[in-house]
Amino acid sequence: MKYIMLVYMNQEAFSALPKEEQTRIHQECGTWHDELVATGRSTGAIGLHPPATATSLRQQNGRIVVSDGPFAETKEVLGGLERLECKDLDEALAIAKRFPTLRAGCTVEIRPEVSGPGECEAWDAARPNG
Amino acid sequence: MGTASADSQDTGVLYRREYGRMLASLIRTCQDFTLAEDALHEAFAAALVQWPAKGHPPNPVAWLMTTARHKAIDQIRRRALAETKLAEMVALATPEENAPAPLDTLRLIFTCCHPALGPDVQVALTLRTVCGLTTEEIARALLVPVPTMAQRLVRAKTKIKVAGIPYEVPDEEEFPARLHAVLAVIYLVFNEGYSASAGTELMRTGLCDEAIRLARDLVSLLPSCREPRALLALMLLTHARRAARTSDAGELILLEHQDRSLWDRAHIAEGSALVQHVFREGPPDVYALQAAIAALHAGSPSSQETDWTQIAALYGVLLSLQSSPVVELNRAVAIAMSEGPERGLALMDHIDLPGYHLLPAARADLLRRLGRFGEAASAYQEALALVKTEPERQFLQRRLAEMRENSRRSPAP
Repeated sequence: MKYIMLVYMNQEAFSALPKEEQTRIHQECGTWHDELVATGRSTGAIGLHPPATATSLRQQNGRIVVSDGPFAETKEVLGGLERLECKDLDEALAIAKRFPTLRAGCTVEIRPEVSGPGECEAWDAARPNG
Repeated sequence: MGTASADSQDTGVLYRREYGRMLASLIRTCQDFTLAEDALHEAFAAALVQWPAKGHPPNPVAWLMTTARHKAIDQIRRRALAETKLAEMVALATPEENAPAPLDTLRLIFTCCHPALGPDVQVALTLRTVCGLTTEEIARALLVPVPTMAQRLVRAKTKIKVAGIPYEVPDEEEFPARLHAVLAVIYLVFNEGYSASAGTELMRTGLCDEAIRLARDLVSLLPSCREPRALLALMLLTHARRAARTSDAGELILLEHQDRSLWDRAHIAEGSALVQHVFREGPPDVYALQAAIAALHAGSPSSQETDWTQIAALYGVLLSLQSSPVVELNRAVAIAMSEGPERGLALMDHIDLPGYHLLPAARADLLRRLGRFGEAASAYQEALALVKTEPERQFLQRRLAEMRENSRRSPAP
């Protein structure tokens, strides 16, 4: 199964760490990822710049409005993704548990990837209070 | 006529006893919760029609398993998914042992209690699939509207499929944590039955029986694990008091005033033996400690003769494993019983349990024992503002009236 692992960084917690620890975590993330690629468990990773560099778009009164950054100031922000290829959720969870940045207070979320256009209907059925 | 209804009764018994096990096996072969459920229901429906007409098959479980497997194949054909589901069709068509395998039940329990599902969902799904309760029964037992429960179950099954929650017993590394989650679900089912969180009845014993049955299954599936045995002991020893906990009018009777001759001796004997074994095998976990406390109560002829010192000590150990204000409260009550109400009150002053009616209720009881009726009355009022079940409310109301009567007769100095 294909899973996307979303990494939500806790910027405060991460920047509070000593510089050497930050570097060490970065290096360990690299090793963690390389191993997954070597064993065929990862088919790619994407790292993102912090939200301060972001530009947002949304439709307002029928017009697309462009603005700086995300509107909501949240403590946790999307930092990157890893695309996993696993037997089942337990395998994905075992991989995610070893993700080094967890010790810097990040949150990791695992979601199954939509495999075809038909599966997009799932979004309709998944209304929280539907 | 008589035979027909006897037949459907037999089928009902079979359903209650074997449903979970059969479903577990079918899910493994077809790797699809919903398909397995539908097929098994169709097989039972077929049995209700065919058995009264043609007589019972020699091995009803094997008959149901075979029929369910054929129904599943039919369903896959109907869905025109034959090509993509070829592997499952082959698995279903392959003749195999028609007796459900115990390992499948274990797999099913671990899947239903997977941490990727919310606690409410874990409870509902376990009752639905492992215990074979209907959606309506679960909705009634957990005081949730039927459509809400139906939707919760559908979503759970969708998540299992879409998120790829495996149908497996977790590996060694994950096993202890996952077993703990399974035990937590079983205990949640039990507690929901034992001290219903809302409603007019104090207990919904059906849920307690299901929880005990689940624990028994787990004990036989995992004979070398101590934790399921400790939980089973705890539930047996607690449930032993069920007949003595409420009056004929449905009012709550406290442990102190219970008619101990109503306690279930068979449950107590079984539970106490389990606790002793578990304690001999190594350091006790939270369930074993609570079971040991329950065993001390169960073995004592009255509240006065109970070994409260030992109980307070066990609560102390429990606190070191599981820091919780509820455990602190229980320890304070035990200390009040062994060392006097003042000691208990002093400890309760430091317990922070907002919104929990048993803290003011316990304080009220100690104040009552000390003859401080005015203070007791206001503590009972505090508890009444928080209480949720009707029998407990009636009990507190009665005590409050007594306190008011007492303080009228002997006004506080």
